[in-house]
Amino acid sequence: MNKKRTRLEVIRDILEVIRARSGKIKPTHVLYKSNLSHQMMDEYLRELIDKGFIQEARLGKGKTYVITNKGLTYLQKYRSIVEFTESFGLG
Amino acid sequence: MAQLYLIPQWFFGVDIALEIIFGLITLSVALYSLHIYRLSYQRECKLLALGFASISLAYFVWSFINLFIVSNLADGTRALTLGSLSFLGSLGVYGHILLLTLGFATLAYMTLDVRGYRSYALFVTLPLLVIIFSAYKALAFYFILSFLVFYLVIHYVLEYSRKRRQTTLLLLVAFILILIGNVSFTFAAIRQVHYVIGHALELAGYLLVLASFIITLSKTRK
Repeated sequence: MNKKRTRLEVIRDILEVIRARSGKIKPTHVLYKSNLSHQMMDEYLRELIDKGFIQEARLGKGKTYVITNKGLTYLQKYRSIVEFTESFGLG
Repeated sequence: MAQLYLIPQWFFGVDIALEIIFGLITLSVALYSLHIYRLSYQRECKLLALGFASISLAYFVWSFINLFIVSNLADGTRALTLGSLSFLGSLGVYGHILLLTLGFATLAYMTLDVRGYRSYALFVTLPLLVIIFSAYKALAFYFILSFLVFYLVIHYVLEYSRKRRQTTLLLLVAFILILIGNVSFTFAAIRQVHYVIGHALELAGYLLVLASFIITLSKTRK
């Protein structure tokens, strides 16, 4: 059985999905690839926008999410972040 | 006159060096935690940075107090006597008490799944108010500090039982040592030896925090 993903892992997974799609993705693809409920996905996307990891862009009638430099840095430094937060019992 | 602690003559100077070491270790953790916060924007990293920065500042203030404010007693012992403090002395002593309490209260708050500035303000203000309005400030300070560190010990017991990480175990032992050190400081106003024991235990505790920190850094650079 898969263990429950941590918050940091979910954020990494969403950002990875966006990066894999040339840095731009539609919400339906995020939902499909990130393995989250619609409500959870909305919460995470809102959080990522607030933190500046992604930006919302309009594409015709729909919207897309674009990964920012901050988001890319998060992916690069992910291992350092996880190692530190887990060692110090944060979250 | 109420004394916060008695310092054996032979230990004077060593204690100041140790307090500077405690300050530098906690400052290192605070700065790295701030660095991780700027990468991840995790609430816990911000609180850890704030807590350790406050503790670090408290130790630097303490070394300043011991260097400039403690007075010589007739038997050659040095003591920090609360009743005879100048304005600067009072500022230093109360600054140390408030900063250390604020630091450990912030770390305890970090372990809770509670969010919002109002709950944080309430959580850190209550222990500070108890100390400020207590008739036995030194006793209230050490008691509340020990209680907050005890809470951190419980947090790291739970964390270690869940994840079984070596670095978390080091932090667990570190906070147990810091807790016992704090309890020892409670009696430092009566017997000098408790002042020395308190410093020795806290040195061991903070060295373990440093060891855990260094292991964490080395793992991320492999």
